[in-house]
Amino acid sequence: MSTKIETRDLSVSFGDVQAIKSISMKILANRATAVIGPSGCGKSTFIKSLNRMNELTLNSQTTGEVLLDGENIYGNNYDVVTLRKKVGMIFQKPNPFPKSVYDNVAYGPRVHGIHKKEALDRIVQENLKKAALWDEVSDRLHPSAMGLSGGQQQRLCIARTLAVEPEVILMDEPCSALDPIATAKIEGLMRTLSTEYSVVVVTHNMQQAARVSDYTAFLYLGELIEYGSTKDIFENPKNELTEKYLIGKFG
Amino acid sequence: MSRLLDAGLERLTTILLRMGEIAEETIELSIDGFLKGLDVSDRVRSLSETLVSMSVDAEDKAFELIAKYQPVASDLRIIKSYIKIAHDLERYGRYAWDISFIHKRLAQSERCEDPLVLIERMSGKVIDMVHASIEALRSHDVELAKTLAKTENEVDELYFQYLDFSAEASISTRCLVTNVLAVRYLERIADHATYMGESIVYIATGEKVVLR
Amino acid sequence: MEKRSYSWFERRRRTEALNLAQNQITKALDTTALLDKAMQYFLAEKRKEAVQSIEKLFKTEEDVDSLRREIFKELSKGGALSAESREDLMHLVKRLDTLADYVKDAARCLKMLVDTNIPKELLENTGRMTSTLVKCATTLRGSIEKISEDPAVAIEKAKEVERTEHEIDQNYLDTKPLFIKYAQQMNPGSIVIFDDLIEFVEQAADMCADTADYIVILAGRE
Repeated sequence: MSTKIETRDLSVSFGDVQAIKSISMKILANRATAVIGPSGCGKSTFIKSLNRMNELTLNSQTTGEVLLDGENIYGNNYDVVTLRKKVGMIFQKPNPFPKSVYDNVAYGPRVHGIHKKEALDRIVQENLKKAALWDEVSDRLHPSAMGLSGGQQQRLCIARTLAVEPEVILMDEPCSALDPIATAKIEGLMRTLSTEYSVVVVTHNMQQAARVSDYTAFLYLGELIEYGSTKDIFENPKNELTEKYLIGKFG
Repeated sequence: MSRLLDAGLERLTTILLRMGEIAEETIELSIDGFLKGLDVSDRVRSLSETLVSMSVDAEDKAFELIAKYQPVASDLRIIKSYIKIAHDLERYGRYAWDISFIHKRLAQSERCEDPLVLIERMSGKVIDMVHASIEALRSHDVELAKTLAKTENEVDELYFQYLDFSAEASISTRCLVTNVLAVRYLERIADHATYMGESIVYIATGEKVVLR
Repeated sequence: MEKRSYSWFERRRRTEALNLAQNQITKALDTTALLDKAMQYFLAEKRKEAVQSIEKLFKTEEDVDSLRREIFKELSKGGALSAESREDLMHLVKRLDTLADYVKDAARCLKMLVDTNIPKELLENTGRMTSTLVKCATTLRGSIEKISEDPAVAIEKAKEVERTEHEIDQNYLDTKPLFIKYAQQMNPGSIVIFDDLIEFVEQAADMCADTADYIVILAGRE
């Protein structure tokens, strides 16, 4: 079981506000890791720092290291564009491109030089299947993606991310804008995807974390309180704070 | 008859090259204002209107040549392509104006934040493409025209990256909408530079290529 | 004897090009009515009917396109039609072709949005633009019909087209700031497509006015 991402003393602040403090943890390859904690605990900031998306926020300052396959992504020579291909991200609000379903998925491969129709057709179908969306859109690949339901759009975003062959998939509360049925579909996806990719999911829904993940990290006020196998965390948390959170004594 | 046509073609070429100079100025001014938070909309509008009236002149001239001389082969190729190119140059002005307009009207000419520095990078590439397209026009340089394909890809990638991440950026809604529209206009300018490249390849080689 | 048959031959050719042009003009202007229909259906949430109008529009625009090519081919055959008249017809036909092109592009945007939820105010603003565009086109048609019959009326109507185009322009400028108001309800992709939509409608109106400009020149010569 190898480490895919390791954070060492990772701290992120925005101006005067420190969002996460000195987090050190190892995220394993080809597993699903959930990040849970009450609102404002820094889980969103944490996941965004794994592909430098925290830099999207003004006045952000990051110290410490984030090693992807042993290399520090905040190092001077690290290519951010490559990073964002290796580490894909799915956001809370589905955000398909203003193009057809087909072109949404084909977009990435096209940019990387794949132009032959047969190759693109195959890539589009493959990734829509991986995202459990193929059956629903195989007969409407060319109409605009804007016409899909929220849940479908989210799965399309997943297909789009998969098409550029990432190694890690980050998901920041991917289901919170979706209805229960769409949520169930995405949760199923998280499980199947984690066998092939390293998946990290931020969720405010504890039961979801329990359902989909192999490992769970509990954050509170920007600090990593506890981290272990999901089974252990949920059945036998070591830290009192973790216990309190899980049984609903706060957040 | 060829001599008279040549004089007409020369006049048409002159109009287009002059349009090219003005288009370069218009786009650079508009983008500069946008990135620095300056209101340049009046000057940009005036330049853009000049391009519109010049494109009408160019089309007039082209139709006159077709009607009078019924040109064939390479002459016809050039004239038909010049009509398209005049349209592309006029579009340069139009999108430059679009950028200034939304900058003024939606963002109140503020300097909008661009945390990932994507817009600045995109702008740089788009300006390069505009220069290249006009230089290629001047010298009918096929190789230069073909380089536009690669840059267009890069601009596209930045455009979609921006759309992807923009909703997550912590900037005001005003700036979010302004930026999203601005990158769209930049992407359209890049498209037109590529169309110009295709026309230039067609003029020089008779080959219809797709540079996108 | 030879002279007479020569001019009769010329006259035939003149009629053919003009007939084709009349057909092309009618169809080009029809596209605006189809766009407005689609827009009004969209507003009434009749999405299937909206798409039907759009498909009809695409077909009509294809006809406009092929007519333009036929006309240019016909005109290039020369004949007694003076070079000036050939040019005039080329200008007219090209402008109407461009108008139909813009309307088609607007319809394409509308088709992409047909299953999305667009805020009512945005749709209503755009609906106003498309119905005014129909007014523009109808007035333009009236102007074209009168060029030879009654040049003074043709010129008057051409000026009316210009006034109508200003209305659409103003509408267009006032609609863009609404994107900020509704930014949270739309995602960046929809904003971009909707912006394209109103831009194309505005460009179509522009082309309407451009054509009217040309009618003034043509009518002035009669």
